[in-house]
Amino acid sequence: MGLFGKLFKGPEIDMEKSRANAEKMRVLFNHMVENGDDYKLIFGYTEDVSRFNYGFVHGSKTKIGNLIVGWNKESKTIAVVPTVPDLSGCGEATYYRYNDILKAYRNKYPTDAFVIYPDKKGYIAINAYDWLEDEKLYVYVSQEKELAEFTEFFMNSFYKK
Amino acid sequence: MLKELGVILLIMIVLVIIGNIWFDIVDGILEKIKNLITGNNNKTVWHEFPENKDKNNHY
Repeated sequence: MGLFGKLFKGPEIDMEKSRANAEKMRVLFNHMVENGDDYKLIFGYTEDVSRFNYGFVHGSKTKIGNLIVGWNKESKTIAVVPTVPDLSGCGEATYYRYNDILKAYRNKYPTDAFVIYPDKKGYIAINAYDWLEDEKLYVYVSQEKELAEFTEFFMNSFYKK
Repeated sequence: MLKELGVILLIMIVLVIIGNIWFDIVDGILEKIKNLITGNNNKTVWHEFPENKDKNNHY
């Protein structure tokens, strides 16, 4: 392949690193969720956007929250475990059961996110892509097939409006 | 002409650097004030990654 071929091909995914991170995600998830192997996993993230005005400097800042998102088709349950880009640890799991939630839908604008309203008070918007390169902000994992499966589950089994 | 453009570019770079430093200072101070006011009420439970690997280097 020539120089231009390599340029147009785009960045190459380090599949070994991706596999290792997928394994770490599984270990963390199973550590926090009972019968964790009953769930399939993807990496997702939340974006918390806020505006600031510090005198002559103003704008908006985005806080990224990393998530391990597990879903169980039989029990129609999504379990979300907060984590960090290097998967060095995680927080407590939060469960979203189809029968208990108020709403669940996919939002296309302003961002492509899976939105769940557990009740009227708040919601969670889960963003997910097949691969994100910035390891400082996101977990480095390739998940094209898993994301397609999650999308199919969310739209066909978990959608509620 | 090029000299003037170079000077303008340099001024803009300096302004960007000063702006970023200003943001970091103000944001840092506001975070500290917020932590002092809210205290440690918002401590989330955190679990470290369990380091148990088998002989095949799998978890």
